[in-house]
Amino acid sequence: MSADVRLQLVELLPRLRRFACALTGSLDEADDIVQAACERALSRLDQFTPGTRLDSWMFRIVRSIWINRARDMKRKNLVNDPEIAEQVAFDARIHEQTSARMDLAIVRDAITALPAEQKEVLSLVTIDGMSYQEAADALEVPIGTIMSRLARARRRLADAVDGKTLGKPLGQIVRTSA
Amino acid sequence: MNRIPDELVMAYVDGALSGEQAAAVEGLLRVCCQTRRLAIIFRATALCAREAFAPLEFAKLPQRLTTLVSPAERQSPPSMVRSVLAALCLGSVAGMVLAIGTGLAISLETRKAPGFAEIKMNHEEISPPSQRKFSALPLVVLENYSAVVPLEARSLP
Repeated sequence: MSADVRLQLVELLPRLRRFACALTGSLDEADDIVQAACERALSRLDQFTPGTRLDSWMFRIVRSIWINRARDMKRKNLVNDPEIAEQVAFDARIHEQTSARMDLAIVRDAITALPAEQKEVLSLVTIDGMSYQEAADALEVPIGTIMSRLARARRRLADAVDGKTLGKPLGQIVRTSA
Repeated sequence: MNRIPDELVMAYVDGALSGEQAAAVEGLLRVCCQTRRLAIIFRATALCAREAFAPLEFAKLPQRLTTLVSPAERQSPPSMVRSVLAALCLGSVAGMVLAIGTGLAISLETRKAPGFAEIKMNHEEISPPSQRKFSALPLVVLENYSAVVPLEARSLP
């Protein structure tokens, strides 16, 4: 089974990275989390039930590792200073070469800044393409919770992006970047 | 005017409603500007979020991840034993030094991961839209805020 699971894991890596990146806002950190998740999964293969969805299991492990790391960061008082984070994000943005890239960077920042339970649902459903039910299974919450979190996340994202793009509506961002 | 829950409008935009439910939402979209605006927001945020992270789908994976999970990339224990025995038999100090040096170099190389900024965020440079999981959806609804919303996008599950 191990070899089969490994092959499935290779295919899953891009999705896991994208999920972790949406949660953390940093690709380096996302890679660290995905690596830790894969190591944990491979060491606990006996806990995976054959016939169930490997992707849901892996998303849960990634989420769990991310939550634990965030707790550790808080405990060590290394939690992001919102002002510094905003300044860094701003500095990074002014180096963007095109307005379309800048706008998408703003969208990424806005997603990363969402509350944890909202960005994980947004990432699974809107970015990864899971159905509401699949996301509910992966996060082990009722489908109604998924829908209400997702609706709140998208309204909040719209407010955040509209407030940072000098009045440029969301639709225009998509048009210029597509 | 009867209001419907935001979640129902969102589910309509995501193509997650049954035909009967979708028809009910469409009826409201024809007459209610507020509901129409909400639908536009849900539609636009879905497009933006996908676009923002689309490049990651085709970005090169760091070697440390593929090496970790790929069965072909991992050296099997018997071959590892054979390698160690061969090294001992040869007793070549130079060979050992070379092996250690190579191991260190590989270790350093595999630890190097690309920064977020190194990823090309312009998806057009990475792959044509036709190869992407989510192709750009028609933006009819975004073209004219005052139009009745002919949401055809049912690409989400």
